[in-house]
Amino acid sequence: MAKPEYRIIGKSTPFIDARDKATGTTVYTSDITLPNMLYGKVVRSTVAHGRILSIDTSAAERLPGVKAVITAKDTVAILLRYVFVYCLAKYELCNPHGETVLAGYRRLGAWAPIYMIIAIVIVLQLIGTFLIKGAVENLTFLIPALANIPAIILGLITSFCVIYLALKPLKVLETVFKIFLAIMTVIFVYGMIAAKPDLGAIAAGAVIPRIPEGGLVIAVSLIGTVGCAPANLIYSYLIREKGWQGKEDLRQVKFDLGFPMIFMFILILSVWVVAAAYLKPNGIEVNSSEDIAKGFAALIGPIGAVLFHVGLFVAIFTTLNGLCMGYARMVSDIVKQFKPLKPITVMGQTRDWVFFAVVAWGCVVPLVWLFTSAGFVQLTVMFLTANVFVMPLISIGALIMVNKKAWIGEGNTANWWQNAGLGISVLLGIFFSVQGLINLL
Amino acid sequence: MHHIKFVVNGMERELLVNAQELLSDMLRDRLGLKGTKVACGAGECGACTVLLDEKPVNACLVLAVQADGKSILTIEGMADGPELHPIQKAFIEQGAIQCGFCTPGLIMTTKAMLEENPEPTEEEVRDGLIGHICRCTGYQKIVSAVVSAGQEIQAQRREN
Repeated sequence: MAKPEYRIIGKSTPFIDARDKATGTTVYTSDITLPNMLYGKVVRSTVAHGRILSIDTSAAERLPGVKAVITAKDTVAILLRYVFVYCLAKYELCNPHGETVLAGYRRLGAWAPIYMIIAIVIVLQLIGTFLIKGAVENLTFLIPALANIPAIILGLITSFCVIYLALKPLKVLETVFKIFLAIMTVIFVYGMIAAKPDLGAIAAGAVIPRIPEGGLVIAVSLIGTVGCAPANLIYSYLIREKGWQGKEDLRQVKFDLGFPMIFMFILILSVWVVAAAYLKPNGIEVNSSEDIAKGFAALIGPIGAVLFHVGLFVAIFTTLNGLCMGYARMVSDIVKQFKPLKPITVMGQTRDWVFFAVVAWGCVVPLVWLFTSAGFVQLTVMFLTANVFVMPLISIGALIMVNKKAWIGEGNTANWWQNAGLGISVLLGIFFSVQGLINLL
Repeated sequence: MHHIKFVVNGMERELLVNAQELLSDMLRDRLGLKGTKVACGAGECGACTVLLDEKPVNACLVLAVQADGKSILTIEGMADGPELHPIQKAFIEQGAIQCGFCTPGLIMTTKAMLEENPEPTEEEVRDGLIGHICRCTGYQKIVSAVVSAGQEIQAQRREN
């Protein structure tokens, strides 16, 4: 029998980049040089299977040219939020009464949920204004012709779209939005690499979010948008919608929560870097999102500004959507603990009047602010401050809830890392409240 | 600062260098010759090998000032335009390259080795490449590549 002839089998093929490697033209990571690049060095334990008792970085920090020494300590903020939200989800899934987290808060006393409603109402108004203002700004940049239309009309259209899509989700649009968000993440991260990062300031910002001097308001507010305290509560509502019911689903929560947290961390970090390291030293005052867009344009060309605006618009849109729905659900849940509410159906969604009222409060009422001259900066400061007052209550409440056997159920009480995380959250919450007060005065 | 003159890959160059500047840093960062790789930075792996007056040296253990008045050959100077050097060809054909990080250093040492001993045996090749570490290939294909490169170069010489 004659041997069959194959095109590929039995033939020797040099692999695709062998020539580049043999001539030294392949670019390895260590061959990449970028402007103002910093060099990092990983320091590993000198003892196999050793236990880290303490790390003294002071001598390294004193060396000339050393910008930052980063240890596990510098990852605290994001870890805390993870522990915090995880504990709330645990309460939601594990408590033997089948009650929601907010019902759990009510066990602290009837005043607790009421206090929370007030806080949510303030926060939502501010965040709504903030986001709609941002959305309109972005729209006018993307379609210059829109600048002739009054901002209030554009705001109205945006609000309408947010509400409409919240009630009638469109799968296609969701996918498109996800793609835009991905694009924004890519340019943010690229911007982060291309800018010259001052790691020390960024590390400090990641651990203790605060309102820095100068024009970093936008960066801070983005952090606030994703990290504000009452928003952390929304997650335990979302898990119901995912169909997770009991203790056995807690494992999934760990991953479901962990991934976006990592993603957010990267995104926040890159905004910080671009704002802190690139815009300010180059004399760009950050007063509106337009200024950050300029930064991106300077970094990656005119397309940078467009991508930034599209990404920001999508981010704002989805955040407003998510926050309105989440808060609306929370408030309606709280109110229901005091008195039953009659269901109403709007556009196929059956909820109660409180729910729709909160959505309107977050999406429509803020339009009034568009008439006023309240600046971005004032709004942001007010928003962050309002957040800060709720934080101690939420964290102290959570700490109590996950430790009372009668509340969360036998065998479900918090373990050491959950308690440690919540304990630190309580301390930070109090610390921020004091700082917020000082900022207000 | 020291003013030094040298030839790199056939081109005359002059530079002001610090007394403590390494040859590997000068090549990579000052002249952009990134084909010379630095892995251990301590003379253990041979990745940074270049030829200094035709002798292989670890560029991470040589000071830039020591290149004054000398001739340096790096991986970028091996091919003749688009035409690869027979050693490069042999490395590609014999599958002696995987991640490729040790390849430039190995090729430089091979060049010096074959100048001294044009047709080495397998054992002599292993002995000659003792200063190089490769974490991918297991060395067998590298050794075959060097042996066949030697034979090829000899065959070409006989033809001419």
